[in-house]
Amino acid sequence: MSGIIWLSSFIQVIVNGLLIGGVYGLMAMGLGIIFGVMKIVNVAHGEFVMLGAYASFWLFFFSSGFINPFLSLPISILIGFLIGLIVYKFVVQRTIRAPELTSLLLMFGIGIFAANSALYFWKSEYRGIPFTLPSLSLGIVTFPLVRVSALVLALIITSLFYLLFTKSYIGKAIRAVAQDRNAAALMGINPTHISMLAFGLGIGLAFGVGSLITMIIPAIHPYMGASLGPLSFCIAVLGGLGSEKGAFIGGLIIGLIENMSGLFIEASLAPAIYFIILVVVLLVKPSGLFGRG
Amino acid sequence: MKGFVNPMKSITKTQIAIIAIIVIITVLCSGCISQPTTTEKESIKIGFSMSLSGKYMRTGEYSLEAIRTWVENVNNEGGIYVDEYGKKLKVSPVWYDDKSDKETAIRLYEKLILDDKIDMALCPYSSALTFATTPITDKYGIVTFSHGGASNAIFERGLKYVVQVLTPTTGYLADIVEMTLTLDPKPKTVAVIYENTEFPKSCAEAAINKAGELGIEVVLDEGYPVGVTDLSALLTKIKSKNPDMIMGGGYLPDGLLIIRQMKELDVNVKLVALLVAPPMPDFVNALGKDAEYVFGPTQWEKGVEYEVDYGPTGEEFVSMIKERWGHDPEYHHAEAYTACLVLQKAIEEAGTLDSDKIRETVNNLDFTTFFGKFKIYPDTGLQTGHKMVIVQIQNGERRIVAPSEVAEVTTLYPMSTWSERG
Repeated sequence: MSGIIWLSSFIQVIVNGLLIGGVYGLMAMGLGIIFGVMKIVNVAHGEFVMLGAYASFWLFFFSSGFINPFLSLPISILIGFLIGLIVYKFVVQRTIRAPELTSLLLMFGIGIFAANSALYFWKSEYRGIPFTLPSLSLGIVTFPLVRVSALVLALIITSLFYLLFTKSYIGKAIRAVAQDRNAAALMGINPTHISMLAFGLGIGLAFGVGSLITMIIPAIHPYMGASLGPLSFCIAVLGGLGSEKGAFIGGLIIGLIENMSGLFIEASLAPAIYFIILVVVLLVKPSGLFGRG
Repeated sequence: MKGFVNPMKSITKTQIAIIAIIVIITVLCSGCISQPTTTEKESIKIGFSMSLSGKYMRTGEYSLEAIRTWVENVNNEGGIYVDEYGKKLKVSPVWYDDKSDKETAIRLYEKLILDDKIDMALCPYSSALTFATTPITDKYGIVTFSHGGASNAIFERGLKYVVQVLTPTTGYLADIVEMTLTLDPKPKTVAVIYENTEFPKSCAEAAINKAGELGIEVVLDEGYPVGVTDLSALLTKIKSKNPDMIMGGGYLPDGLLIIRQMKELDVNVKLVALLVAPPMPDFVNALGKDAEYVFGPTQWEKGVEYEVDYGPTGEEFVSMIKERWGHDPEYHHAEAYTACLVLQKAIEEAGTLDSDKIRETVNNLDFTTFFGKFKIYPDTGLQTGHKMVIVQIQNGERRIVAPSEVAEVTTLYPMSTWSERG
């Protein structure tokens, strides 16, 4: 490779990595919120992302292309939020005081239920939203505008959540419950309501990511959660479970690693490389990069 | 050995003679009894497992529809003539749902052979399940016809009784590489990228070998992981090497991703050929105009008309499936129906249901159905006669561009750049 081509490729993969990383970060954030408040590892997270992607797909499909993923994003988050509340109220709540393994198995079951329901109702066909935006060429680097938009939206949602968590009463209550459930209850916070709200927010975020992903990944299918779930788990743990900032930065790091290893080593080794980095980080700092404690 | 009585000594010669007579009579009688059962054979039992749930559900259903159509057709004609019995025997199919699961399929084939006592077998759908179940059918010496197992690996294990009907994976991309010889200007370089799993990898390796033979330089040979969500890095690498062609892919999701991201990153080449995805309707549905120009190999395509010397013509086959099931056939239908035709022809020619004789007969078969040519390598059962049909997306439709005897249209080449396409 000549110098200029090498430089252009190098900058391009950094851009690519950051663009996808933002969406990865948002995906991990939903997982982190639920873990932070309820100490539940939502292994069904990938499946909720899948449902969010389908929500966007059907909105696009039934509106004959009028409701594009930009427009369906808030609707999808709202649907996810409501589904989260329902799932929490009728299922998850019953395991909240049970040993951790119980809720883990429960979420595992919910994931299988979600994937197979999707398979039953929507069949195993691959669906995609034929929605693209032009790319912007700035000299040696190309910016796919659709990914740039996805990143911008991911940043906006992350900022909104950050404000919600740091500035609002609800956010403070959520953090209080996350820190000490009993003490929060003594301070007049209803931990059950707050947990339900946090679960709803977490699932809402998963749905939102699903909608963003329909802009990036052209094929959605009932089993897509199986690869997204472990990825979000890896990012959340790398950044520090329960840390919103950590999740987002973790996402950017994984996006960059994925792209760098694709350019300099080999694309199929990318997952191995980021899991190695995860292991190394956990050895040095078991709570993750931005985790507390 | 003092104190023990030699048992032989306690049996007298007369007793031995009596036992011998009884044994002889039993053997003769059993011969007499079993003789009528063979002549009374009323039907040929053909067994298989099919994926009617799980991830191969859709394609499993397609295959089953085709097999059932064939059974109905044959039985309406009175069955298959078997010389050994001097009459036509009806076909009675036995099938179970393998849930797209290897372990289940293996158990089902044991059951089909031991409990249902099938005469012959068809393979399940997919290379993975065919790979798993063929050692079972082979162990019991049951001839089995593979209609959904393209992988070469199935046939590289010294199995005796498995016969392949479709083009093996080594032909998928290699046939397209060969097609590029006819293009002008002839492409000189290719980047091969593929999902790092068995099927895409073996297709890619064969394409690379073929490119080597034809003097096409391979500038990149690289796999990517299953479930990949971002191919930017790989495509950036390709962009820096500026090849004439991109070949590879794997399945539909990554195929779509390659095209979508080629556009996003403005990667321009003269030709793109991908596995599996382009012939699927969802490819065009999901990509819209961006699907244009893309080439893909397929085992069969509606509209292909070979000079048939056995079974229905392409047109007859299409209307047959459409009438019976209310929708057009996919290539999965065609593969399964052809496996049945090969089975039928093999029984007719062999004139017996004996596995070894049928398998030997298949070695000498060389004929053309609506699916194309059938001929196998005698030792392995690997298909060598059948050629891949190559399609290209033109104006939102998949059109047949090769092999030349069945081509509908000429190739659109080279593909326009993304900026020209707007």
